[in-house]
Amino acid sequence: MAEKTRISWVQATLLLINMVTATLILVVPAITTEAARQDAWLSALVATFGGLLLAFIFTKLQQRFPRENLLQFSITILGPVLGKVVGFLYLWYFLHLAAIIIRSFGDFLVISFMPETPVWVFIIIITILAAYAVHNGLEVIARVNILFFALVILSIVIIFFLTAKDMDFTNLTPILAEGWKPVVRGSLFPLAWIGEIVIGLMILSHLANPGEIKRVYLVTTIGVGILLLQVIIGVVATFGPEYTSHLIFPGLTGTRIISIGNFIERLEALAMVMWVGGAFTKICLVYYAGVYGMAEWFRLKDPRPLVGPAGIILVFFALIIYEHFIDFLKFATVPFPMYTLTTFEGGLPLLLLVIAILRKKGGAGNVQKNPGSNDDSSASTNSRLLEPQGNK
Amino acid sequence: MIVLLLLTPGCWSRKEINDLAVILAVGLDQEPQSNQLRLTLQIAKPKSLTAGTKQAGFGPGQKPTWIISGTGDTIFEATRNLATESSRDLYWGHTILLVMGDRLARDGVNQVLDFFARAQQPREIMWIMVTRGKAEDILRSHAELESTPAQRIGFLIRSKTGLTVNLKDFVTMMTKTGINPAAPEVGLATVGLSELKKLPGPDNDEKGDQGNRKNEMPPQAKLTGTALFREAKLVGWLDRKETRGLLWLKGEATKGIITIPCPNHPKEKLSVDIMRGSTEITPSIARGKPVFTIKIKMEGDLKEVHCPLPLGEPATIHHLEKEFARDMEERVRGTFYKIQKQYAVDVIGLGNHFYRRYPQEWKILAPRWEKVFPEVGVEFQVQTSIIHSGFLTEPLEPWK
Amino acid sequence: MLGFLFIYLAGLALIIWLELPALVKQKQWREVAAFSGLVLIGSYLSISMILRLPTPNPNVLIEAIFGPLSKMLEAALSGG
Repeated sequence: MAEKTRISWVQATLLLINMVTATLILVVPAITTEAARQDAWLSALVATFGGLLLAFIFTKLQQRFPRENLLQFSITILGPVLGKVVGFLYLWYFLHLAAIIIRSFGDFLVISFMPETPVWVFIIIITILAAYAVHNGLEVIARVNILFFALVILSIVIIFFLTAKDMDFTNLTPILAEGWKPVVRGSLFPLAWIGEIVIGLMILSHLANPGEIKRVYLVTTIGVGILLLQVIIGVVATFGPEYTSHLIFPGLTGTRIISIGNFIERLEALAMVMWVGGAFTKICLVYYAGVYGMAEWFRLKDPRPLVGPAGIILVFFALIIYEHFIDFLKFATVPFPMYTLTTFEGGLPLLLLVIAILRKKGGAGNVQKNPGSNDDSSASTNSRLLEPQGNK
Repeated sequence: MIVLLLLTPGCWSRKEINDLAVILAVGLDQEPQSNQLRLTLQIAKPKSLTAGTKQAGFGPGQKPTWIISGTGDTIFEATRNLATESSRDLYWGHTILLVMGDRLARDGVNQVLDFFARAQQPREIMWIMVTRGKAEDILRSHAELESTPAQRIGFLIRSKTGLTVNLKDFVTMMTKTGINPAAPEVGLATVGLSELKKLPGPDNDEKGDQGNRKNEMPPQAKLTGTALFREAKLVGWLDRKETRGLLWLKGEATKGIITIPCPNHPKEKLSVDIMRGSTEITPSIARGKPVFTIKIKMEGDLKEVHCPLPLGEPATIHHLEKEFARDMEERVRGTFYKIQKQYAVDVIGLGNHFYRRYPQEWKILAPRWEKVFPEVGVEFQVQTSIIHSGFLTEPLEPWK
Repeated sequence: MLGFLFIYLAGLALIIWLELPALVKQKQWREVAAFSGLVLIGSYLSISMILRLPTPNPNVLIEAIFGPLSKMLEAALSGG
């Protein structure tokens, strides 16, 4: 495995934030608002909190095995057979997620900007681009992402301020009129989305400085939470809770409202840039996780040849995964979070952690800052960086 | 390292400007016999809009816009029918105005608005207006100062002398609980005098002119009031004065003039121009019924004074302020009465205010709000302040 | 349909041409095996999609497993 790739904690954080955010803020607000109405922002808070819990689990796991990625330490924890089973399950998760993203990417562009273009055009194009990126390795993805991230963040902030004059914050009241249940219901989807940072467990083994694992996850989760909150508040304040829940992409429609001095209009192009930038990173990351995971699983030395065929499979799945975007939204509101949260994003990692603790696997938390050392772990060996200690 | 090229999308759905028929304004009516939708489109004629300065007098023969009209069961179907008449593809991306005829509006507008909110091309910021009669006539009207009627109406709306409602606002009002939508009303009027009008005089004794002094200016659009909706159906109108009251009630007024008779010389008047204002609505419950306190504050400048008044004395100003407040309150009451008792549509959003303060109680009231609304108690508190009085200190009076 | 088939074959050819020679040269048989395996899977799926044969859809599976659970959760969260 090409283990000499190294990324800084900043790159890692930006990767993860961008990955979650770009798609999150475009798709999520409608779903959350439908459940929680004007309390959607509370859902965002709840989701962020949940995200922190998940991040905690992930951090602890990665800290125990700083140089191993998810598939590797599954084997470490559970042994070769079960570990591989878990690994396989995760590969499945990556594949599924990637297909969903790729498809959503295409759908968004088609619905919002180019309705005559068939969706497979976008799917194929983006998959080819992503394949190229993944083929070039993580560092490339990380560097490109910095650019995209800047674009995304800038767009979000600009859009927020430009729509500010159309906002009526009384739309956010009354608070908790219906109680907490809708809030929780609305927080499931964002939480599932935030939980995607579990992908971090595939890349953080490449952190230049393993001591930063915690920081990466912490900043990521909070950053995503803030952005989500901002978008939800902005959108509900502008359109009112009812209209927001009718819109398929409230963030995008919010962009269309902007009209400054009768001159600055049609800023939805900005939203498109944001979407393309963010979704691309996400696709790259999940694609990367999938391919490198597969290489891991097959015990290959070089994952790069797998990129191509994996791409074909991704395209296929992206095309068949659902008929109509609205079906996806319905599927997304409850079954999807249930599915991801209980297993890949929550249940499994927790299980892994518990077993790791019980079986005393992995160096626990005492990750010293040693940027110079080159601890390449070859596939599937247990790497012991530090003296095994008790918990925490 | 390697930086990836961003794919700039946009090949399939490319539209060349020369292939487009740019729709500036759209009118929707309901055909009386068939109940079909009549779609009237005001399309820009490219040549005439490129000139920077307006050429004097687009005579009746040369219109800068092209009007086409067609019917269908749905808007989309109508556009398909019209496509046979238009040499270019219809493009909604620059549509700034949507006018609805009252027949259609009475039947319910949410269905037609669905097209505009759902489709990708039309924009949520286009203005919504209603007219008594046919929207088609509004689109066919003349615009003296602007190149197109759509632009004229756009400017009229932006002057904020009436309600300013775009599609997003309308949908928001329609979907929100406890508030009903309202939209500005547009009508036709002969505005201004044509330059070609001949004045009476000793030289003019041509036949067609003395008793038949017809104004040659074709009718133009004019803001005439407000249309009131219950949910999605048109139910009533407010005239211009009442519209102002509505603006004050909604807290959207930034302009307006109040003219009252002079305190000591009732036959003379003075006028105040309103600069700023705010409206605060506070709901409460008294004896099991909702009660609202509406506090309106206005600041204005004295603009015109026809009577001798000691403007320098604070007592005078105070008195004037009280008079203005009283006048305003009367107007606001009048408007409110019409809304509440005559039409029973809560276009101000009292229900919504109530909901935000008492969500649980609102749940019980909401289904019956139409019946409850006419019975709610309202207390008005109007405060005005006069800030400036222009360049003159005392009113102009000839030296005696 | 034929157009898609063509696109697919072209893409496949491209991928194979890009990767396989290097692999064979370096005798990385493991990789070749994995590569071929994936290519086969991908081909099967893609071709059956192009030819409109029924194809497996993961979402169906997930909904089957998690459907009842999620409905329960939703009911729990909606009441009152």
